[in-house]
Amino acid sequence: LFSFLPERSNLAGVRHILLVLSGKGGVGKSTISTELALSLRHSGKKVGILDVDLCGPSIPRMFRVQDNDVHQCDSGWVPVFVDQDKSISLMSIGFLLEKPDDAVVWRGPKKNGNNVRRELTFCKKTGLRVLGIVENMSGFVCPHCSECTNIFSKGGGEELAKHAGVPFLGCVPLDPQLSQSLEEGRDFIREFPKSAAFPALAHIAQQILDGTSQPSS
Amino acid sequence: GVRHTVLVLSGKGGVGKSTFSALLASGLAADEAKQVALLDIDICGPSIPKMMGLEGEQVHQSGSGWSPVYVEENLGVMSVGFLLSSPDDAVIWRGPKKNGLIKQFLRDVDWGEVDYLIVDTPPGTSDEHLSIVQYLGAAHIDGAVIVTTPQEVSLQDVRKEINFCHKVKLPIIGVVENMSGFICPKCKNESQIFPPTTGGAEKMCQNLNVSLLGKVPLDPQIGRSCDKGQSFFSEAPESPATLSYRSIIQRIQEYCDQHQFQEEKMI
Repeated sequence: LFSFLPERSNLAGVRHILLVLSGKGGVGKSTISTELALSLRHSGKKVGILDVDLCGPSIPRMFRVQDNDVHQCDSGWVPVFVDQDKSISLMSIGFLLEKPDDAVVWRGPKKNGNNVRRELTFCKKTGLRVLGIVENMSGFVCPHCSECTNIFSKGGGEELAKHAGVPFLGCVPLDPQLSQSLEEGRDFIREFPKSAAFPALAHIAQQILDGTSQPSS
Repeated sequence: GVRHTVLVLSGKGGVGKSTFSALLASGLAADEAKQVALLDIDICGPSIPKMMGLEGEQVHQSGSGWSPVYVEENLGVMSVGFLLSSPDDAVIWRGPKKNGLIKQFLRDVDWGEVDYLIVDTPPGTSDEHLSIVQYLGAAHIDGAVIVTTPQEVSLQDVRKEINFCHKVKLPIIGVVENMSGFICPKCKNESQIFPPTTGGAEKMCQNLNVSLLGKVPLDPQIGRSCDKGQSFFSEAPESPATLSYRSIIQRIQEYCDQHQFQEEKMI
């Protein structure tokens, strides 16, 4: 990744850069990226999303722009605006694939960690500041009887954050309405503020805003 | 030799592929007359040792090659996880070294006489998949089982897997839809935590003319058993998930028996 840094000038207008990492696949990293972007937009911020998930770029569908094309102009690639107000723009490797069902086989060096601890080690070694850990898919409240079941166990994220000395940003519960919103490319933050996952997502976004209110060095 | 080889694939990470591989191997080994082997070539994310209760085990070399670690007399496991000194070690493998290791696993592990070899692969389509298909030869693999969740993001990646299988002439045994519904332990009502907004695996399989082997519901006991390295089937024999698994495993066995019969016919 570091040897492909774009020209400084293209990032000059970007005030804060956040990386969303996970050691393991399928934990909801793209989901959290999407919801964080929507939350920050609703707080009045302009947000860009760069989806560099080489083998499974899911973000375009989460904004219902999976059929969009990208164009180049003199100053470079033009990101796709996902909304009328042009407050969220997206660039994804998904836009560069000809047919969505094409397999993409990437050869050569690839860094994979399968464990959040390894990601934390990576951050420490590269001097990347860790804003915090999010424990996703943490509990499910049955809509019929309100019984909460920990389908994928609970508490590991908070424990790890404590152990590693990084902030714990919160637990996001499983929420069928969230899953459905992502499938349909809807704005979950705007349309479902009473849904199970909303409070946690809003709280995470607020902590990010608070944590980045000082200008980055 | 190995009588039947099944590859377990998924387009996307986190759909439960390794869990499925571990439970498939355990389920097949429930028949003590069968000899089962589980090979974990998820070089950068080997979860199988933990799920089988084999964390901390080491591999031994003998005159006849690398010895698998035996969970039961009739269930042997080999994983790159056994080669790591600590579970927190990052494994950063680069191209040829990674493929060299896969070839070694396939060539040098002394499996003995095995009825079923289950291969847990990394998610997606990558060097590892090409290596294993090339090394074993598509003709010697009975087929692939592809694991997905009901979500379109996952199905999207399954379609890519299916195309990959067609390209390398790897037969597809079928698709398993995992995390398919959740039954509340208290009120017994079902919720679709991952709603199949585009018809789930069922519709996709119909469209692509591929078998749907079954749907496995979410069950908190699965995660708990895997974390502890215990057998889910023993811990929760009445679970709807256990019943699904038994049916899926039976269909895979039937497919393999058919495959062998056809091969014998050709000779």
